[in-house]
Amino acid sequence: MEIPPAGHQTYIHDRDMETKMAAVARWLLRWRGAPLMASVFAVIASGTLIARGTTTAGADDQGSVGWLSIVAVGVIGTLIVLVLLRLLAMLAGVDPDAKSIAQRLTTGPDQQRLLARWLQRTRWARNVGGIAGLVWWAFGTSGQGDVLLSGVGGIALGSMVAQLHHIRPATGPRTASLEHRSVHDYIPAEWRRRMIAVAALASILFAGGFLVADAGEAVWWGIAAMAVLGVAYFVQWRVAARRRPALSTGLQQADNLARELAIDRGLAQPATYFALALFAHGAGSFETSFGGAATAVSVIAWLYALYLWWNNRRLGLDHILNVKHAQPAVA
Amino acid sequence: MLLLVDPDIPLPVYEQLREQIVRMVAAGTLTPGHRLPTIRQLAADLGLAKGTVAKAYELLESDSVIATRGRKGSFVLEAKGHSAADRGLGLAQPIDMLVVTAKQLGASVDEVVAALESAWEKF
Repeated sequence: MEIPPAGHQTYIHDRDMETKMAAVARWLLRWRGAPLMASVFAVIASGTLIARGTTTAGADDQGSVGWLSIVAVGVIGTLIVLVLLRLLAMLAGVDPDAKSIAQRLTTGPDQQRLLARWLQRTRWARNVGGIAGLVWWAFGTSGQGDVLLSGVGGIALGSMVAQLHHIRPATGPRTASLEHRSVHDYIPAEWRRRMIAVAALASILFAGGFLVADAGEAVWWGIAAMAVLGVAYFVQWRVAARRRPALSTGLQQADNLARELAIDRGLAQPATYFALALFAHGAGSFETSFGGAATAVSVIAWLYALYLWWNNRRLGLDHILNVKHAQPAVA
Repeated sequence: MLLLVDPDIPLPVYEQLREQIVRMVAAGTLTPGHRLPTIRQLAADLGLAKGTVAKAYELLESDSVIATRGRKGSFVLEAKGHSAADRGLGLAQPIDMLVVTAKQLGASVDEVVAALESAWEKF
């Protein structure tokens, strides 16, 4: 009788569990549209209504304000359930959008697997970071802070953490290519310029905090914005230099695409809008000295950060799913 | 342009690196002006200590095969007196080795060609 290798049973068990979780998540995701939202909303709203009925029996004179609060609880509850479903799906290794995007950007199965894994990991970390940011805003600041700052901060940190993985060193014979790689090979000039521009704004904020009376707080906002950009550049550099064994031409192209997406959409863009949101807050410190002008600068920077985040949401790749005959970036 | 090193063979790894780069420069597959990866990148890609790659680069520099221009990196220099025939001479020895090994293992020519094609596709 053939003896299975050690750990065989555990492996089979884990794989079965994974498959079951994936099947459940896929089934739930199929119902993530309007019917799911409507049914979840109905359950939460009815639950709230019943709970209110038992605790405030006879107090029916609250009118539309009471109904509005029930609707609000229903909407927020539905959103939380949807986010939890998506997280469950991602934890179970199901991200159908990541696979579809990878299929549209590359052609070979190995290329698609490589890119889908990267997309899945990055999108998961960004989602978790974003949710952690919102939780911080809701409970850490009791809803008094800036929701954009907390949210994009979480996304930026999640993005950075997602890129910090490394490939285990090989044993025995190993291969490498003699092609030089640097951050500049992967980042578009436009985003390099934007990072430099926001770093310059952060420096001005830092200097202004020292020079202008009653604006000392700006120094810290400036330092925070510069730190975010500095850390992002360090992680970009790590991504460019991350270990890469010699690969076939197709896999090398897919690997280059993953690095490009990581350095640009995964790091440069979130770091820029997070640093800009920090700058917007710092610029508000000059209100006592410069009045409306400081407020205007702060609002413009805040809105621009919001615009950049909107374009970068879900890595700014979901539009590819709507293109019927997309040309793959890697043939 | 690929490099392959094996830490388990008796030849030191830095010497393996130096030999292969010299061969590529001599054969013209690494052209003058080609920018080599940084020491840190090559060490990471091959899973080696930075000092090992640095030693190989130092030897190449002292042999005038490459030149290091500060922060700009290391660049390949003009090869001295090598021709296309050198490429054939460079191939002869490993091919002999391959044929002898294949015969010792009882492999047919078709099997060797198939294995060679598969390895070719891998890189």
